[in-house]
Amino acid sequence: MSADPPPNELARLADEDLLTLVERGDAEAFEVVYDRHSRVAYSLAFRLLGDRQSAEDLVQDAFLAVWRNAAAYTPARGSVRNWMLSIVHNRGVDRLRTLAAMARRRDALEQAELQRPDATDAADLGIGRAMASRLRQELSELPGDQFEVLKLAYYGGFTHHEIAEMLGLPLGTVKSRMRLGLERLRRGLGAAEAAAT
Amino acid sequence: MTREHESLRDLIAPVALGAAAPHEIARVEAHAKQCAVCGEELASLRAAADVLAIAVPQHDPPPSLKDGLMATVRAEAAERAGEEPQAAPPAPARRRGEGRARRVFGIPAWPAAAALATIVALALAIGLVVATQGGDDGADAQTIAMTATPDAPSVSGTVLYVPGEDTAVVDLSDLPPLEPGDAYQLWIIDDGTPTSAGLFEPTGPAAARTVATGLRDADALAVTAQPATSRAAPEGPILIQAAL
Repeated sequence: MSADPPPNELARLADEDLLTLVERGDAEAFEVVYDRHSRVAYSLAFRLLGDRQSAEDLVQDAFLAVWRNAAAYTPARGSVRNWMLSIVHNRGVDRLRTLAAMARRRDALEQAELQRPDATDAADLGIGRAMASRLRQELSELPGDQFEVLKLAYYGGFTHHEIAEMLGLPLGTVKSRMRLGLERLRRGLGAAEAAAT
Repeated sequence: MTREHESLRDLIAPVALGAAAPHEIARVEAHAKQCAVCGEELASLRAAADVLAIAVPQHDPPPSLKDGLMATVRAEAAERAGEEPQAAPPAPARRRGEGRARRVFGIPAWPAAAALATIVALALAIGLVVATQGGDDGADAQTIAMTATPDAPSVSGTVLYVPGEDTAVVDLSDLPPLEPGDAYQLWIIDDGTPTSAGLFEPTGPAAARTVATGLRDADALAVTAQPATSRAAPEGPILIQAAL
């Protein structure tokens, strides 16, 4: 423990290094991780569950899981932020699935926001203005049928089987739209990264 | 293998979006570890899906959320610092929950690994329900009912075991609540010797799901609740188990 950096230096550490300290039980390092990522985590939770209290409960559970099981992080899953967001997303989707019947979930999803998600607050997301702008463009240019499937899957928590049934489409079509939509976002991500460097 | 590769490759996009069934996720993740092409594809599509995570309108979490969270975290950090000077705790010492029974079928649960062999034998003797899974999940998938122990008689669970994929998905319900700082832990039992298959947390009210791979020589799976920091050796009582 003697090698622990003082708190004012913690803010300079990379997420991966902070997580090593968190694994050893360093509450100050955990606080830095929370300050960095709680906004985007809370925003995703709010988008998934649609009310503040549920979003707060979800974020609390997800960050406690990070605190108690930081050793589970592996760089193979991507950045620490991606890993934490996947915890929020997985748990949020589990809650959606236990909370409501399919029809109710779909109604709630449609009422919540029909407009495309907006890649706002570039500074908060730590991805730079050019990249945020490019991602926003990619999302807005995504073909409607692909966007609908991605939205039902990612924000609605529906499985590919449920989406096929809901939209009256063959399963292969749904999977193919998911792939095409994600590939398009991936190309956009690559272009945005190139533009940002 | 090529047909398997093609059928699993088709599932990578649903898995990347979190829109696949647990057994599909388990199969794709197990395959992606062995197939470089699919491994890269999964990582790349997951990165693309993360765009959806960050592309939502941003809201500030209330300060009370951080206050409550940090109070729990600091309390647990102090508890950890006070009780664990790094070395493994002596066997009789129990941090908390002294009233919690630590016996399984009348046998001290841990650290006597030999007890597990008894548990496995008992589980087999009791007779586990094994049903062949139908549908397109793979001809060799089996659903195995797990057996609760006297320490947690209300827990129920199933294992969806896919020998061909060397993967098992464990679904648990009616779990007892965790004490602060504890987590559930899955153990793979091979010849009476437990190996950790990872810590996991509840994924719903009193429910949890976890996935294990590397089961080719395994005799059984067992679930404990124990301190989330001690991962190498079983410490808490066994809640539920299944023979494979």
